Amino acid sequence: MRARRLSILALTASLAFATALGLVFFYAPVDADQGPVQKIFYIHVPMAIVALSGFVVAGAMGIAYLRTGDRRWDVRSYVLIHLSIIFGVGVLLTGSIWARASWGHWWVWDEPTLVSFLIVFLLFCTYQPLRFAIEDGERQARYAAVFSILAGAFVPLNFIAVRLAQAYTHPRVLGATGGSLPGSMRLTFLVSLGAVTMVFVTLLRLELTAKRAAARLRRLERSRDDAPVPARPVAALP
Amino acid sequence: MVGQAGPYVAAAYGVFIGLVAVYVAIIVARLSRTARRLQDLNDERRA
Repeated sequence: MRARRLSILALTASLAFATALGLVFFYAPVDADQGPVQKIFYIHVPMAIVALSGFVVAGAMGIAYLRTGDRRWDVRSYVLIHLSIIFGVGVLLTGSIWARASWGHWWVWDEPTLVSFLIVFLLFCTYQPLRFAIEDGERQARYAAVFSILAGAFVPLNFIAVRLAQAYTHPRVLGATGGSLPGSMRLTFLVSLGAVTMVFVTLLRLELTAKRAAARLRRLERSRDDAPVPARPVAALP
Repeated sequence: MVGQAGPYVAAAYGVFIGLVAVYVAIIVARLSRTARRLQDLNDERRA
């Protein structure tokens, strides 16, 4: 049943992504200012939004773990951070490609959007070493939850800092009042955002399924090892 | 349609598709390893 649901989700995510690609390349108009390179926006920004949201939701899962002590929340928080880091790699790479195409540089250190995202990304990169430096399972989960809450709370600060920044060399297309995107571009962006979110949720479910299966296997192996060895009939000597 | 920006746009979308493909491949490999070990465990119990 779970595998069936995952297959349906994967199929829907694939269809959504194909629709988004169709809209990006055949429906959305070419940007008058940046030209065709602006098409990167439809993958770069949704990935950034999804990655940052993933970090925040991981913090919420950390709170749920500390409140309930249920290890499932800890696993969800862990997988969310893991996936968000991977999407974060995508954000940094696509951002660099966009910067190179638009500004002629792979990276610009005086651009607050890039640097603040890099800081958030590097902060979450310390999650895994910190987590696996602790051997005791309970303590590991508890400390990881505290980390996810504190670091998750830092993410909105990143967003606010960027909004307050004065050096607007970064393309700014989404404002507080809906931005300057024309209707067709906004629709394409929203479909892309939905598609990237669906891909993220599918991958999240896939990894959670793998983790659940691995945990079940470990339990079975442990129960096999703990089970009393049945008395074997002694073979008669010739 | 995308002209000179083509390689950059293709690279950006390629990054996303590549990351997802590698991630899925790793998780599927891990899942099939777990399934194989479960099968071994079942066979062991039956024997």
